[in-house]
Amino acid sequence: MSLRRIFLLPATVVTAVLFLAPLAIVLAYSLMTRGPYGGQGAPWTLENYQRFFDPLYGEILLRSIWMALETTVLCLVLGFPLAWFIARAGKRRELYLQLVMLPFWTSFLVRTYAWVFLLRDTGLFNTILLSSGIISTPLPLLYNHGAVLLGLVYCSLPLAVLPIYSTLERLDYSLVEAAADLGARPFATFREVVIPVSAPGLRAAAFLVFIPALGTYLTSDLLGGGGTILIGNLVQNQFTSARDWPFGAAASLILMAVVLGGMKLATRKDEELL
Amino acid sequence: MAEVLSLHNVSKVFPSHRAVDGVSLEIERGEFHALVGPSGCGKTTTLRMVAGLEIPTSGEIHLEGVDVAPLPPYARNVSTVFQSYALFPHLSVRRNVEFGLRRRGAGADMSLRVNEALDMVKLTGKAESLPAQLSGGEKQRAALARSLVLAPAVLLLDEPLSALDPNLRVSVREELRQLQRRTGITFLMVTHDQEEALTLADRITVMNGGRVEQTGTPHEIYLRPANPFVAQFLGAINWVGGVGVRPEATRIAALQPPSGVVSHAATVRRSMFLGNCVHVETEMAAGGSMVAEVSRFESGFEPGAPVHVWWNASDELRFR
Repeated sequence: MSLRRIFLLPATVVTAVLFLAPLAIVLAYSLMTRGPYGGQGAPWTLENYQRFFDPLYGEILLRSIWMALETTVLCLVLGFPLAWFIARAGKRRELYLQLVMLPFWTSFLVRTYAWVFLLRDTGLFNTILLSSGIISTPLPLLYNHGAVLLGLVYCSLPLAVLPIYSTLERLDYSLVEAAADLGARPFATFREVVIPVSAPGLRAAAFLVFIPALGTYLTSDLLGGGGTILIGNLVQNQFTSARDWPFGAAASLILMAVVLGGMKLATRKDEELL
Repeated sequence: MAEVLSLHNVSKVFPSHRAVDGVSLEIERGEFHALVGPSGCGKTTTLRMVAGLEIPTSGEIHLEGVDVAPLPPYARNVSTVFQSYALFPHLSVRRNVEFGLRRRGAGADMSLRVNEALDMVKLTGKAESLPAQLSGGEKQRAALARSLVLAPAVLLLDEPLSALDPNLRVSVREELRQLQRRTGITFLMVTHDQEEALTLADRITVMNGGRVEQTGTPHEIYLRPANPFVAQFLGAINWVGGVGVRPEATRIAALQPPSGVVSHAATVRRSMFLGNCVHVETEMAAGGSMVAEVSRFESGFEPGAPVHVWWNASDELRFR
């Protein structure tokens, strides 16, 4: 066996055992029937997929896609100026990059709970607003669409900043100067030169934010309410309280198909994914 | 008013240093002007101030009679060919050349003007190529076309040949010269290469330490340099008692030279073969060394051989 193959073997085995095998199991489960007390078995059926076309689930899927899109757009809009600033910060670059990555040092769960403490009726924001007399009853900041969106944007922003930063850092600044020199005002330079040239970074950022946001369940579980059930929560419920593993498996495969389809749409033929 | 561009006492101070220190300069309409000097002399900063990419700390820059010093780059009728060419990588050559015209409100004759510019730089066949598909020389010509098509009052070139192969440089130099003649557009070029400046420019400004040392035609600054710095920057020079003599003006022979010239007895120290000629380094009997340039066909000056070095008094460069 060649040296090259020996080094490739571990990764091949890990991918096969930890990714392809579970995927095959999920696929098999999605085609089975749920047993009377949970569990799954014969007969083979497509019913789990058909069930998903119920308007109730369609609404959850659309809501999830919409939420993930909102998160992606907000992260790109907020992340781009930040990445631009860091890329042009000279010696301070390293420091700012570390600050961007700082949240990763603590648990995602802890950070999301922190938002609960900030946003709830007796939380920091409401307490300050109440005690200063600006409002008389607490604002409903938690358990709604906005709170989930906030949580998603908060935890995804670093994932957007890093790939955008890496393309902007390599951006030849003389292109910006050349555009101005040829008569382009700043906004035209941004639209006609900076955005197209940094498109690969923007696309990578969009994927890195969109895909996890589409499958999220923790953020919507902790910060959302009954009206913000997302497809991630739906899948989670099937495997826990509802004990309907075949339907959960079918829903997660449909989610995967949506992600793959979305990536395919966002990528032109001659370009690579990511 | 013959000058299209003039700088009046322009300075640029950066937090770390004073890059340009009271530069005054007049560029005549239609001339090819070279700004030359060692790296860090402020020539590039001066060019960038004319382009609007840097705003002067003080002083005025008059372009066609208007002070443009505080204006942003997009509000000035100048165009720059960048050292890296700065072609937009996502746009074809044609779209690159169109870029400036579109910003100025594209007229019905846009494609005609673009074709004309591409034709002028011999890039017609590459109009639909992306910059990454071009060779170094083609990129340089595309960048030229992108600026030429705007017919700017002054076309600025920042070390336009430095990114090219040495072999390509001489032929591109010739093309650049012809292009300037043909279009009649005023060129202001920055270079650190004195030979490039001497061969290309109608007039040359030599800068050093943020200041102008001398402005003049290639003949003037080479044959009548204003000070030792200019003399030394433009080419090799021997110093004999405060007087400069160029190696090519210095003669050498085993025999006594004719009368009427400045002559010294000397000993050959070594010969340096430069390919097209030989530099013979000698030690003069009176002290000091003297380098004479001889043709490679008259070599044979062995180390230790007694010789005479001489030159015409009219070839001496005197300062003060």
